[in-house]
Amino acid sequence: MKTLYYLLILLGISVFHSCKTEENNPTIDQKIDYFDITDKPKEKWNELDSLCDSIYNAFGVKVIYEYTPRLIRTGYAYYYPPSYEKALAYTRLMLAKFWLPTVKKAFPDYFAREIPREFILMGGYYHSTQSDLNAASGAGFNGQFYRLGMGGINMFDKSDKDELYDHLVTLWHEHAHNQDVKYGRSKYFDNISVGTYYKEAWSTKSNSTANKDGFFSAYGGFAPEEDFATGVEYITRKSKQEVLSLIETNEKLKTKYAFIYRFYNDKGMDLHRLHELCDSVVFKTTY
Amino acid sequence: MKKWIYTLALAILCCISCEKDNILVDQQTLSASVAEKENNLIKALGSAPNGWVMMVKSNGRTVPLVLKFDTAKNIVRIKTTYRTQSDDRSTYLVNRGTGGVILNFSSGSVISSLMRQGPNYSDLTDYQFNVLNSTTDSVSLQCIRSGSAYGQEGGAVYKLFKTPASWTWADDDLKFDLRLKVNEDKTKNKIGQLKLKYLDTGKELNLWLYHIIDSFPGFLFSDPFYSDASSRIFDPYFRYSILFAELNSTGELVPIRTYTAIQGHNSINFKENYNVEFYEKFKFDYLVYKSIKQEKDKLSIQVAAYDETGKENITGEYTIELK
Repeated sequence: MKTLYYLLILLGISVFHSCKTEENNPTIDQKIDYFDITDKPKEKWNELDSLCDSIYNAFGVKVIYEYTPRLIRTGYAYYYPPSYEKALAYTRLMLAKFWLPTVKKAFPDYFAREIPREFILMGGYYHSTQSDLNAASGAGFNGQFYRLGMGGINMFDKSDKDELYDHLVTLWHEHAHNQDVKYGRSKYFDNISVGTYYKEAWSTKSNSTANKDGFFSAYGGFAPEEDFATGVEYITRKSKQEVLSLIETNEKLKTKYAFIYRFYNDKGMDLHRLHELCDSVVFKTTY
Repeated sequence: MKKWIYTLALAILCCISCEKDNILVDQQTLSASVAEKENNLIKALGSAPNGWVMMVKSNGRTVPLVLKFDTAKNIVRIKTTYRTQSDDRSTYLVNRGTGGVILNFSSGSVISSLMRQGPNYSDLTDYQFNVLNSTTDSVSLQCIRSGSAYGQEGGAVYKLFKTPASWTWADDDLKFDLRLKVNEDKTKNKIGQLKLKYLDTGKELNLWLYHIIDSFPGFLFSDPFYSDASSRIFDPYFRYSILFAELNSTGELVPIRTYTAIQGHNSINFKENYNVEFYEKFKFDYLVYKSIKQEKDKLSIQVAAYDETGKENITGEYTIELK
């Protein structure tokens, strides 16, 4: 019995002793996160940081031009950030003049609901290794609900209006992927060309062949996702007259056009009006 | 006896419990340690008015990058012998990683551009670096990624040193920009003389250089930095050809070969000649302009190349008659 008491006393001391240190452990320090990124303090802001802040306040879109470990350290994706000089020039013109204010003014309801919360600038394009040659405008960024990304910012040249226009309509192509993910283009759309997609052979087709096969472009023949996005891009790129002329040549195109146009119109966006605005801001304004 | 066995068993149990406590991370200590590392780095980056030198390695040879940090605005300007860059502002962040500090060249810069171009230009495999050590005399950095997507973490290690005051070639202004016609006219289709001294062997080399300035816009697409959007951060390159010649034993000028030269920041580089073994013959990839002296009828440029510690291993003078 005496032995048992002796053991119990020792056990009690042992337990108290072990617990004591644990009780004194501080709570987890939030400053030591795996990839802790703190917002840059205002006194360190450069001109572009101030512009991004103004855009965020006016449009609710966070423009991201600096890559942090949290953003970029995905295993197999290599993205290169844009140069400061090009990111500043691009943000001033493409985002703060061409894209955001135009859409907000013309389609306020659509803007409020559908404009992405984050916009990421890529200096070049997506690469699957450090130095491989493949490239895609926004792959990996744009199949998301709230985030849009555009590549090729290091190529930005404000004097090349055709390139600016191409970039702006490509931006709407990428945004179409956001919309697709968010709402779904439906089985109805996919059934229009089911079984006839070119898959990887799309690059061997010409646009005119693709039009005959019921796609807005050769790349649209790759897969239903791109079929939808290239449809949006085509209607944004071309005048209403050109779009209507093309769809008259092919029943599948006519059906896809009707679907896409309504898909956007129901949400408050008239794609033909969007084309007029894109054309106007790029070709009919001074900057 | 039994009692002592129980006592011993409990003592061991107690020790085991204690051991667990001992290996628990003390968050406060760790936090203080990371904060100290961060402060040391920021202090170190701002302590070098002439900047820090990072010697990157390509094909076993080193190339200097001079990094000047503005710690008030987190802007870094980088000079390199590879190319010129009229607006060389880029941003950096000091981020915290797992128990450590990360120096993150967060917007497109010479670092990300060289990383993109791979081993032909440098051994950089990331633009984010673990900070291994930082004092006001040296900063040690290691690329976080080592290269391939699933490669082990941790690439090349760089021990940065403060830019020597004599490295005036890394000053902001371009002192002899061949893109300006006034400078092009001084050298185009003329023969200059380059006298080099190899400090490790004492060997001297006298070369005659005939400048053929033949840069035209079509060349831009052969510039790997320009033709790739991910690495396009430099000015469109200024490329030209130079016919190298030397005197033979009978005093006649004999052509060696025409090589491609690219204008770097206050420097000239011959890196694009890797297919024709330029380095094997002359033992340098670049020459920096230490000083430039222009008299009425003569232009003289003092040149140098460095070893991996930043010490001059080749010095020389290039002269050309201006008449």
